[in-house]
Amino acid sequence: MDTVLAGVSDAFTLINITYIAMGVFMGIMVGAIPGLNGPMAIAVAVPLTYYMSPLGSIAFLIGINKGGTYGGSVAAILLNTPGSPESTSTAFDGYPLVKKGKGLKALKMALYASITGDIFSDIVLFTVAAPLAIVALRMGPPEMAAVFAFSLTIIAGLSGKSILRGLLAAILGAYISCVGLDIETAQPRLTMGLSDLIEGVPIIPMTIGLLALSEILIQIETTLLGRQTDSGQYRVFGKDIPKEDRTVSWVEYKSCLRTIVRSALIGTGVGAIPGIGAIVAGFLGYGAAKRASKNPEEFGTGKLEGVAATEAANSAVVGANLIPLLALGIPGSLSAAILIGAFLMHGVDPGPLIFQEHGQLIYGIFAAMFMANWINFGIANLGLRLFAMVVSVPKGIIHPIVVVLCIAGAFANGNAMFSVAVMMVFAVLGYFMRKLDFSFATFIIGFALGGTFEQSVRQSVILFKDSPWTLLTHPIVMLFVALTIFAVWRILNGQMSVKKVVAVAPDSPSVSETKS
Amino acid sequence: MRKSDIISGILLTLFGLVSLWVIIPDQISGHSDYGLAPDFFPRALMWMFTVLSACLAGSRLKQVLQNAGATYFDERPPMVWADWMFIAGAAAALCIAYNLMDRFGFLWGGGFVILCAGAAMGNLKGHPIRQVAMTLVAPFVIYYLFRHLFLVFLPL
Repeated sequence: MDTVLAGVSDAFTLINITYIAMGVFMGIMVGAIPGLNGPMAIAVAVPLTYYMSPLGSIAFLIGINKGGTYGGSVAAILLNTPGSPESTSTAFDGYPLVKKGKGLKALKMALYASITGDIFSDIVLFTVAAPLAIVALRMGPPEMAAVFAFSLTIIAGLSGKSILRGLLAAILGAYISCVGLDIETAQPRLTMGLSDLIEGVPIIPMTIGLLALSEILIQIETTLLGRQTDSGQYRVFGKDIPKEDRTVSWVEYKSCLRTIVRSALIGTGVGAIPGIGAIVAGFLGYGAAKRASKNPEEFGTGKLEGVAATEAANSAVVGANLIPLLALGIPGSLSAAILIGAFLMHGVDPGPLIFQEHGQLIYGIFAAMFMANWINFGIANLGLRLFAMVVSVPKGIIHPIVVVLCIAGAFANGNAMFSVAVMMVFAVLGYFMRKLDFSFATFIIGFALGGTFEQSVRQSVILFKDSPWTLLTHPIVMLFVALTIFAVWRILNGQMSVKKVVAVAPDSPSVSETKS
Repeated sequence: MRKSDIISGILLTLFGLVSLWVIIPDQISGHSDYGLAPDFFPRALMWMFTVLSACLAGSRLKQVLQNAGATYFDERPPMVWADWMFIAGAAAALCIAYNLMDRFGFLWGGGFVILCAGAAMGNLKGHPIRQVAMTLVAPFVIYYLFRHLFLVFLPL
């Protein structure tokens, strides 16, 4: 209890509150700009947290994540262009509401639903992570290896359109994590004679390249080659707009509460499973709300409930994503994988031991997360006009500056030009991965998990080399091996029964996949 | 994606084979007296990678040979000539920016990057003054922001 209180009091310092507020503000700003998103901002911001305290640093990054999730909905609602992919289904009803002159109402409902979903998922994280970590502490190297294998399978199988491409990306990520000194014999591996690679490929510049710079390259290319389509922009602020169209009343919020809670549950469940992510959660939340509605035909025409359903679901993923990270050391999402880099940078190894070794820090992070929700609420409410303006800042200004920020951010990782080179190489690799539809998220998670997975496997071999059959007496190992086999079978089965529904519009071909 | 899957599958299979027979034996040596050899894990991963890459190419090739119905998405080339030209140009610009930053400092490298990215975004044609101002001012602002706010000393 003392640890909990000490952690909470650590979080409530002026400097940490400032860091959280800065993070949330930055997250909403970045999330609101179409094409930029929370994970990109986290990747660029991680090197900037070197001189912060571990709590301040993680709180700052979590603030960006929470702010970024809401920020994505601003562009989705105002421009019909999702600021971040998880807000795609927010646009379904958000943009029609803008056309009806109820844009501000849609933005506010998105905010309230987002905060409610976020708080719900944080509470689940606070209550579930520590007991799960206690269970995880009873697990030895073979159990951890089996859990890692299961997680990698799930992540690779569910994160893209093709399990083969997902698995290839995850394996390549794990292979690149082998670069550096061997953990047992200290022999250099795959370093190509470069002394800079002795400690392995640095995760932060790699993430900046794969996530941020490659996306900016794609966007610059889109503009350069004239592939961009502009959607109309409508006015959402103005005194002539009736008050009831600018605010969300308690009655309206209450009428959506059932949908919000349902979506929060869906988002939390999806977030706790590694690899699925907020995009799927948003669509599942929207779909569930539509199915449960008495008037499903109204969805897509500007229904407030549609905005609430998506936002509650995708925001609920943020907290729940940290459950596997803190309890097992498994990053459930891209943001969580980047957070691993931040934890390691401050000498904290995420995993079940984190509650024993850094209990005060973890409870501080929990308190900071809770605070970040309210700060997000305050900043987003006060700054709605500003964030709506950010949406309209020309990309010709933003993109060149983001490229320079990527370079500066990569250099900040160890103050070395080598990091800049790594970032640039992975930016080009990320460009090809995006074009050829290889999941870069799976690649990063494979990279983040690779080292620990190898360590667990090698420890298991040392422990059970003479009697491998005794592994059969380890129920958790057998359970996760069975689950891995079952997951592979289910995913392959699911892939075969995927029906591709192709909708070719006259000027922009689009493809949607539905699972039968 | 079908054609691109075949080509990328073949290329990745080749990469896997080169890794297995050339890179790993050349880059990893030594053995362990107690557990697994240092090259065990990379080798195991590369075997899986090679087999899966071959499966990717093989499965898509089988679809083509069986004349299975292809959707627009299957047949659409993921990259056209213009994409190749763009990424080649972007990679060259990044290399130049790296060298400028390494030899002359962040301000030169940053300025060059803003100039190139801005030109690609059409700033030179549409907003030349804004582009010049950004090229000259933004690297300075970022440099001093990093130096004083984040205590990161970018090369000068």
